[in-house]
Amino acid sequence: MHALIENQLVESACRNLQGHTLSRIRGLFAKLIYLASTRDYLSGVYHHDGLEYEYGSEVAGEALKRCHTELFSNLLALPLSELVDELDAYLKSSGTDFAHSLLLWDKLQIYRVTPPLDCSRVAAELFLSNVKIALAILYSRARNYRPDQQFALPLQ
Amino acid sequence: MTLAPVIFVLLGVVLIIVMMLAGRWPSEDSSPAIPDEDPAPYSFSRDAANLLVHIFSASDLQFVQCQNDRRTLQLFRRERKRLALLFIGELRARTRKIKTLHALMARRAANPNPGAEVQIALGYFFILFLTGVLSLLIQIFGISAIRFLAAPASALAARLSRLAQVSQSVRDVPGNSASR
Repeated sequence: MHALIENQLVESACRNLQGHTLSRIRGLFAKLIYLASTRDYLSGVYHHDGLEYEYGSEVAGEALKRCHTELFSNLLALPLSELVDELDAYLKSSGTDFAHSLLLWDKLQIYRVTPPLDCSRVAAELFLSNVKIALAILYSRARNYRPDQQFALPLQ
Repeated sequence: MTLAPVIFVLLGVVLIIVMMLAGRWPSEDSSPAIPDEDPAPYSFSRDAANLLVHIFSASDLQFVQCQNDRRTLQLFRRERKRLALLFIGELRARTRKIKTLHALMARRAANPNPGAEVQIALGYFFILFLTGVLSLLIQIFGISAIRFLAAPASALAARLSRLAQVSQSVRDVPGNSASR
C-alpha cells in the first residue's frame, strides 16, 4: 500500500516536472542535458528545489530519475537521422557559434555524462557512439556548407 | 587417404582456437576502469532486442552513406563493429555469470535435476560457441557481416533468457538456494 502511494506521488511529481520545467525546454537533447545536470556527480542523487519543496527529496529524486531514464530511452530509440536533427537543433539553440559548440562537444565529450545510471552498458555505449557519429555528420555538413571556414579540431 | 581425418581434426582444433581468440579480442577502448561485478544476467535479454535493432540498423547505414563523407562512414563502420563486439562480449559475460551461479547452486542442491543440468550445460556451450563464431565473422567481415547477424544475435539473446529461466527454475526448488 505504501509503495503504491509512493508510486502515485512519483507519477504526480513526473507530471509536475514535465508540465512546468521540461515543457519550457525545447528539444529532447536540451531536456536530457538538463535532467542529467540535476544529478549529483558524487552521490548520483537527483536534486530539484521546486520538486523537493512540493514532494520531498526522495519522491522528487525518484521522479527526476524516472524522467531521465524515459527521455534517454526515447532518444536511444530515435533513428540516427533524427538524432542528428535533435543535436543540430540543440547546438544551434544556445546562440553561440555553431562551429565552436560542435568542436567543444567533440573535445570535452560533455555528452558522456548524459546516460542514466540504471541503463545497460551496451545501451549507454550505443547512445554515446550515436552522438559521436552525429557530431561527425554535423561537422561534415558544416565544412561543406562553409568550405572557407577552417575547423581547428578534426573529429576522430 | 589416412591423412584426411587428421587434417579434418586439425582444422577443427584451429577453428576452435580461432573462435576462442575472437571471443577474447579486445573489442573496445572505452571499457570501465572498475569491472561490473554484477552484470544482472537475468535482465539482459529484456532490452537486447531493442538494442540489436539499432546496432544492426540498415537505415542508419543508408543515412550515413547518403552523407557522402568517407571519414564519417569509416567512423560509423568502426563504431558499429565495436558495439556489435561489445554486445556479444556482454552476452558471453552474462552466460558465464549464469553458469557460475548455477554451478554454485548445483554443488549445494538438495534436489538435483540431471535433465535441467544437461540442458543448461548444452545451452552454455552452444551460446559460447555461437558467440565465438559471431565475433569471428564480425572481426573478419566487419559491418558487411553485421547486417546479416541481427537475427542470430537476437536468437542468442533469447536463448540466454531461456537458459536463465531454466537455471532460475532449478534454483527455485525448495532446498536448492545457493545462499544457504
